[in-house]
Amino acid sequence: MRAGLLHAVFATVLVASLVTKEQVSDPLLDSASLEKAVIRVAQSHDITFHGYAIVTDAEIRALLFDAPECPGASLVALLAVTLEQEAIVRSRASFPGAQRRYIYLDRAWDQPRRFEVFIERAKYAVLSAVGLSRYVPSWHMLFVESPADCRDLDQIDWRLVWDRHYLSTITPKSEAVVYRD
Amino acid sequence: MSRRAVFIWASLILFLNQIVAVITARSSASLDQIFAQLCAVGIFQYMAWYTIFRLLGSSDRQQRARPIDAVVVTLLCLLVVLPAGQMVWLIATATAVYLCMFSNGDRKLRAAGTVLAALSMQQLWGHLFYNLVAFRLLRAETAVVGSILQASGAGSVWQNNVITQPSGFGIVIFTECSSFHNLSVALLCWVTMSRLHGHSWSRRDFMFGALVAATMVSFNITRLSLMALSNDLYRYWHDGIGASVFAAGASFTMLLLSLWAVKAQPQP
Repeated sequence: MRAGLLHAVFATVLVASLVTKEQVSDPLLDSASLEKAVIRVAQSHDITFHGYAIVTDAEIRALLFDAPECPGASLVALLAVTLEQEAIVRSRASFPGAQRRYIYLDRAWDQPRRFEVFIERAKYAVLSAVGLSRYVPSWHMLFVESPADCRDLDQIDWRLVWDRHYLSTITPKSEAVVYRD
Repeated sequence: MSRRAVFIWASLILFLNQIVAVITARSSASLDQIFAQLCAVGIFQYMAWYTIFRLLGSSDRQQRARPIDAVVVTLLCLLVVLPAGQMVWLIATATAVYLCMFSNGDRKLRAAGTVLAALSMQQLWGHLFYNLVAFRLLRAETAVVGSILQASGAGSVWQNNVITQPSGFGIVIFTECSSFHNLSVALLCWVTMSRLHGHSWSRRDFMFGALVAATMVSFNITRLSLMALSNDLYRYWHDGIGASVFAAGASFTMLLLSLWAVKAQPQP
């Protein structure tokens, strides 16, 4: 092989890869971005963000929402896909008959499903890598708990929470989180 | 061009992409933050990269690169531009497999491939497989810590990944605190030192590997047990000086055990 040509090819690949790496930014590197997205998605459905609830002293916090047709507050928590906080969040005092859903991208379950989430994440990691998906396979999923007969939160399309384009519009200045006492 | 030059280029592309990804993880990182992020990469990872470059650099310079080597490595390196955070490690895995399978009898190339595979395992594959079974492992680890505390008369009870004391104080064991993290780093250190030494794998190697792993797990179990006893101990070992003492002590022990394992082997 022509050594000079090969050196040039590798040097070009190195520079090109570093330049593209510099330009690619992942808006979903932390759960704070996801929290903001959750609040904004809920607010776009006329659901009011009520504030944060500390589930335990272990610094697990959840988001509280008031939906117009619901008798009580609904709770949304960001859980790691390993579901290691799930037992604690689920064991908190809750209203009777509460409905629980576990949401990851375009899938939702009534029970925690580790393997299914793992597969979904792997699928979207591949699709995202080759540019075939607008969703970023984050390490967090949603736990949504709402009072019985409260359908408002069920109708929300939560996929936007993981939408790369939607998240890129959330900047500290444009963020308008409304708290209500 | 020599084969080793082709693989040095591939390793350089992977290493620099990893470093740039770490630096640009935060868009508005200051110099201090960049330095902190580079430190967070970990001494054993830098050691692994150093070993890879050293092994490649000392491999046979007479072996000419075949066209297939250049084509495969170039195609693999081109994949780095894809916008996936872990793409570097996927390519590193493929390069490691190629190095190990087509080393053409060059032990240094093969050893470099093994260290690259260990690095990919620690950075990507280990986490993926761990995430699949994380909760079960956390529950098992919690049960071990809870049993130790119960046997010591502390009166602890545990459920899932939560340990509670009679006083009401309790801790939740999350994946970041689990033994897995120390274990994966310890095994990377052991593989790196072992391949740097250059001897052939033997049964004794794996016994030392198991010893390194068992030591790290027992260190972490001890730390978790101390943290579960009281809020003061938790603060000390989780956030205070104890956390730094543990990190330094565990790293030093890993290194010493790995060096001891290497010294116990015959010279190649």
